[in-house]
Amino acid sequence: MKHVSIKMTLGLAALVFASAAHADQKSRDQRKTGGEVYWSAGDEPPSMDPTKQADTLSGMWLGHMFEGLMTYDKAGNVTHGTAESMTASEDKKTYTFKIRKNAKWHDGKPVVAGDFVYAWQRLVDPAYASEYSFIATAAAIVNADEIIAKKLPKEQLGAKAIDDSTLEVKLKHPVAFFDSLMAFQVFFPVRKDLVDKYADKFANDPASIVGNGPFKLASWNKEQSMRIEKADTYWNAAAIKLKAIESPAMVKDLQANYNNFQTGGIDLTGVGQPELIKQAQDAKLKISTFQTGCISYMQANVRDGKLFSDKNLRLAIRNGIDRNEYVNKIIGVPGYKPAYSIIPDYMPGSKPGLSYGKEAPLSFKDADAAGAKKLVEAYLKEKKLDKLPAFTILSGDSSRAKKYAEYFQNSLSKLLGAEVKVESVPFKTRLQKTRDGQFDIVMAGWCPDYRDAMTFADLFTTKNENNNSGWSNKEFDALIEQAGAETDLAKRIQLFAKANKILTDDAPLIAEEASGGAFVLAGGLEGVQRRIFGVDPDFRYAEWTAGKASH
Amino acid sequence: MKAFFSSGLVRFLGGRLLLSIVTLLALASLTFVFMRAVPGDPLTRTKEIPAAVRQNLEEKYGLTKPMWQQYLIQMDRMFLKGDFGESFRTVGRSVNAMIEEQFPRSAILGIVALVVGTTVGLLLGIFAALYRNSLIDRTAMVLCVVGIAIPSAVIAPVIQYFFAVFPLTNMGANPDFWLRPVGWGQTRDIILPSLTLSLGIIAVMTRYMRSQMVDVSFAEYVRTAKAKGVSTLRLVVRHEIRNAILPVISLLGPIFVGAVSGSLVVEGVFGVPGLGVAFINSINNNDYNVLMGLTVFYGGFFILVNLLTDVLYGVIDPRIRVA
Repeated sequence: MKHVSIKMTLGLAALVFASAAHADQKSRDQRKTGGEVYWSAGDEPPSMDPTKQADTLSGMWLGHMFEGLMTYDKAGNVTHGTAESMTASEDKKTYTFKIRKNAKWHDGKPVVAGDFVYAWQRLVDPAYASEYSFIATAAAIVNADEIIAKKLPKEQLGAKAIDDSTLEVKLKHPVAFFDSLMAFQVFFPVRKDLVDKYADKFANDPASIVGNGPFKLASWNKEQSMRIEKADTYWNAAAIKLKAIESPAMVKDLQANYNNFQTGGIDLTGVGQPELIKQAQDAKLKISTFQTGCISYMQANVRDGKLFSDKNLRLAIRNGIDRNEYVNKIIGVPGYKPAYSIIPDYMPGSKPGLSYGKEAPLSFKDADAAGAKKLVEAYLKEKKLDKLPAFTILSGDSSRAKKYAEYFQNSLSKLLGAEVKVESVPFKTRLQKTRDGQFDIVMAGWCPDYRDAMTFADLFTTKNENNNSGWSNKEFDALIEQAGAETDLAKRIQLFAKANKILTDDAPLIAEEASGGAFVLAGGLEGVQRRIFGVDPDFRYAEWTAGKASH
Repeated sequence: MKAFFSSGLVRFLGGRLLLSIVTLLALASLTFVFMRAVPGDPLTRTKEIPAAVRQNLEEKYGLTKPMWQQYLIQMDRMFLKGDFGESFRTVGRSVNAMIEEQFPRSAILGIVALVVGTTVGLLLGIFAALYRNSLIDRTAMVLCVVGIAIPSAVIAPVIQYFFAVFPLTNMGANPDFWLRPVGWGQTRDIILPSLTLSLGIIAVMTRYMRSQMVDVSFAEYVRTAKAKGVSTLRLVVRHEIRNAILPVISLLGPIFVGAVSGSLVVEGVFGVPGLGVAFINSINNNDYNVLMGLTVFYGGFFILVNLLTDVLYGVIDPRIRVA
């Protein structure tokens, strides 16, 4: 019996490893000499088809392998990518892009305007059903909405190839952040001949993935590893220092990744947990921080009959919670910052170099337990109650989500003098219950889709599908609508500021923190960019320098 | 042996096979119902997909069809065409390919863990029983309780640290040959995850084998054998172990299935691209096709292993051979 098992085991082992292509892990010193970087992608990318989805992980790989008309420079500013120029008409409703003559696909074919037209028609094509087709609505491309709703054929999209190197895009109304949208992955070019050739296997069969960016796909073992290598066909190849980027294993567990980093298995790893921060500090590693761009908040259910339909109670929470304590003691990861409203400070202001937060600051005194108590007392007196009824905080079920929910459970029960329960449910259950209005308070968050305050500001408009709070304010809706059409950027910021004030003072949402992250890099690896918009992490400007590579 | 492979066995297998199919169908149907009773669907995202876009997606995935049609389509595809469909999360990834590529990795860990865990566990159990109430016995029993009580989520990082990270960073172990903390693709990568998985098996096996050995040692046939002057070695091997091991064999099936399918934590920590992680992700993502496909696959696997265990049981113990 045992002999048989052992034989079977050996046989199976041989079989498993015969199929495993990745057996030649290079040491960190070898990688340094060869200009290679290893990191852990954490998961299988949901889609390697640029037009299909827009998650960060797929976007990281695609952003290295493809390039849009525009892209982000090292400092995070929008710059020319595949397009050598972008010209806007007087009314800012027509954009003309000139595509670089030396822009090439990885197989040597030139990138032409038609590749963009094809990709964008595909984006809005109902038959293709891209989850991110709505971004064409945000870009206000003529007829995008009508095509998605099947009222017009996709050929009617307002994007036209004048000739191979000229692309003309018509917009319904001016869009202040149109240039940054053109750097977004769903607007990357796609090759019709490859989609036709591979059909259902397109973007799934590695051979079908041919990009126009600085790196080309070298190998992809599903759910196991991925490797991209420098593409000499890229128009700006001379500026690219790294020869290869590889995820030798796709591991989510941060501690495991940290262990792998410490033993030289990978060159970059996140340390976004208090325990890991401590370990990294003990190991005397240099911890870098970044902002993810997301805002976390408690969303109140303000529908009639719900406890938090009362504004005073919402304000009691808004003013009572201690954001600094929460960020520093409970989350305990550098990079996070307290947040007081839904529009993050980093959003662009009306002039280059001026942020939204600088131009339209909004904050108030929090950790005001006495003030909160007064608000609660006023409520109790009005309703002739002795004590607030019990309520529930709906949260996710990860250990982190539970920890945060428990903190607020404790904090709110003290502030409001009520019994607070926590309901921890799986991710999609939380989303669905939120959508169905089955909650008192839900721990929620929002991440930006594009580089403009609007991606947060319109979240609580009455018509927004994602406004699950039941909150509706006509003045707020009108201000957001005005901001959408306003072309004077300074005026636009003021409209956002006014709307944001209304929203924050009525508090259907209570912002907690602007999420961040912390990571460590192998000694000598420099120029890795962490980004809110565009590719994250971005290795396009990275290189190994003379610094010591340990292990 | 000859008598064993008789028409009785054929009848037994036939009956069991039929029962297996019914069980699998019931499992698939229940999964279908429960899966759809869970709030949300595969298209539920943090950001609600606009209505027109969602409509297009639902049509593409056939989610607009009446529930009974969706049920029939999925059953037909799975059981008659052998096609589990495609993942909703990972575009273009077929569930069949997931099973083909990822299951062998989980399976090899499970098999190695089973072989190691059973061998060590049985030996420990036998010695603990033979020297019962000695220091060896007590130590083994304490370790067993610890082994059963501590979840692999705790053990795995500890093993990873002490067997890989510490030797590599503090003892100057050669990273070209030493065990890697994370990785898959080399034979050495099997060792740590299998070791982690085997600890629980060792604990269960030791305890069970010990108590069986103790029971058997009081049996009358053992006393008879002793009275007849059978040598100690022969007594232990032929009479005690052979009888004590029988119920333990019946544990092998469930333990094997557990080791193979329950390794998701271990897979996650050691970076093994197995099926365990995929299974958990499918639950979190409401990924209907993956969830259904893997449930049916694991269900079928469990049924098959149990069937084999029963047959094996018959080989070893003539008393329970089916007539």
